Amino acid sequence: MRYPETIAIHIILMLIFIFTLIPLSWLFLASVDTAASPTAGIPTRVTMENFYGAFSERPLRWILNSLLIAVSTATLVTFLATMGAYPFSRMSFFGKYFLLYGFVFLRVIPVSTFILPVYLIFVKLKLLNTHLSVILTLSILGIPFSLLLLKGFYDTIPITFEEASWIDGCSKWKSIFCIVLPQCGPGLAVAWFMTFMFAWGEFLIPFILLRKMTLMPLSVGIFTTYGEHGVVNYGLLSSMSLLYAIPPILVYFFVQKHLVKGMVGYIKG
Amino acid sequence: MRENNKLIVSMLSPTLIFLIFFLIAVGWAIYASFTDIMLLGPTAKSPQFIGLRNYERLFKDPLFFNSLIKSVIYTASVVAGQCALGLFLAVLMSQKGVKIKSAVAVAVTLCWIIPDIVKVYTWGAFAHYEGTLNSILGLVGVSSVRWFSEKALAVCIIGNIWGGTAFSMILFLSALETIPPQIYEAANIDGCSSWQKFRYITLPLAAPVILVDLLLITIWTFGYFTFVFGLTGGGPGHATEIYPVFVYNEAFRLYKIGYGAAASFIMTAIVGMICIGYLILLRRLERV
Repeated sequence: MRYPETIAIHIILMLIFIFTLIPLSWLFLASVDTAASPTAGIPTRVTMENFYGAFSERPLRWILNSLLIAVSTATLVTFLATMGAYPFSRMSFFGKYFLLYGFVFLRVIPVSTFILPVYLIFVKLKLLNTHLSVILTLSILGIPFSLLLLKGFYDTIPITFEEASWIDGCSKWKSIFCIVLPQCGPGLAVAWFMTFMFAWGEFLIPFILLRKMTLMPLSVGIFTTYGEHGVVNYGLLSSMSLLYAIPPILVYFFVQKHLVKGMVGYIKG
Repeated sequence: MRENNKLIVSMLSPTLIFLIFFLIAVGWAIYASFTDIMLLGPTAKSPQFIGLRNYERLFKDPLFFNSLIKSVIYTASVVAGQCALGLFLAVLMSQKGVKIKSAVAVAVTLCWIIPDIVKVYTWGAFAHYEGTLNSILGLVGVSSVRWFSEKALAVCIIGNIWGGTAFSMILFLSALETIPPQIYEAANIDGCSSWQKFRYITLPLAAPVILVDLLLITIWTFGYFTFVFGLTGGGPGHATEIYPVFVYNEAFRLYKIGYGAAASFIMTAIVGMICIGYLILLRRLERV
């Protein structure tokens, strides 16, 4: 690589680096500034007051709602996908590929195409304004990704281990619990965390299905607070947004390695 | 064999129940799209079957065409921007001797990984009249612009490129790693320029991945509701009313559920067509 070219590359990358980080650094600065405005600036007084605000009353409620929705969705989806992926990996049955492509398709189409069907059925079932409706919907949307991911993990485990255990008199279920699952611990963790991240950040589904202030997750809460009183409290909103952004960031850097692998595998499969 | 079947049924049935529930919901919505059902008012309780009237009205609705045009502009710009910038970044970062690769990767990824609504809020404040964007432009001597009333669609497009490029970048980075370095060494010996290496080695070898990336981000951007809705709500007027926002407004602001359902199925059809188009392209590319 020639020298001037390397320098030029570094300058371009630096510019992109700075440009991408400016909005985020504003968010960070505004979250510790009680007098925050959209203009970026070093706060005159650094306080944690905004964060106290975010951990009281309504915002705290929203955080707990978000946690409840995300944790239940992730657990439910991981449970279903752990079982559902096994036949796809190990056995052949009628309609296998049809179902598999169905899942790929379901994974690809955007959430906004589903809002009306989902809304109508929950109106009929009288489940509007319940967390259950949101958890069910997010689970349906989350299953395909986890199922395909776990199928990929199962595929990497040689079936000979299970065959050996069957010969030793192990039942099918027991061989799954004792042989297969312990070997794909990372897969289960990635599936759980990815679903958690998806359910934690989702805006549209809870926005449509939950219309009560006390039931909202943080995403909808931030949205409604934004236009509420005319004067926007940028400090409080920024601290709420920052708190909201931290779990996905942590999760992402935790599962990063597996994610790229999963993404590539998912494309090739 | 009997035992196997039992096992398959018991393992798959919970997931299938969810799928069937979902299919019932879709079926219900298809039925609703043939009725004049409203969220409120007299037809909320006893909707009338009106056949294809909703679809007919949709194709006469200027707002429908407006939203389609906005969606095409929005999606095309965002997809072109994200894909080009992602490829550009990935190629630059995979050059030898680049020191700040991981720092840039982390920064770009951060903007992507934060929840949608945080993106909306952060970008909204950034492009606010008193926001950072205008103060930076002020330093260069450009007077402040009311972005959200004058250039709303452009702000949404650039914001989405800012928040979404990471996906393409990560994908291309891992694709570029699979290209054997010997090819580039051979090209170096032959005296190829950087552009020639990109044009005749990187581009053809990464083409299938680029196509898959285009497929995924086209579909996602076309259906990406939260960003534009959160920033502008479709306004000012209908200037940024992309298709998902149009569906939302018809169904949940104007309470025309049946009409919205019809519009929603047109959206599914469009997404399906984009899918099929790209898959045909991909097949053809792989055969060559």
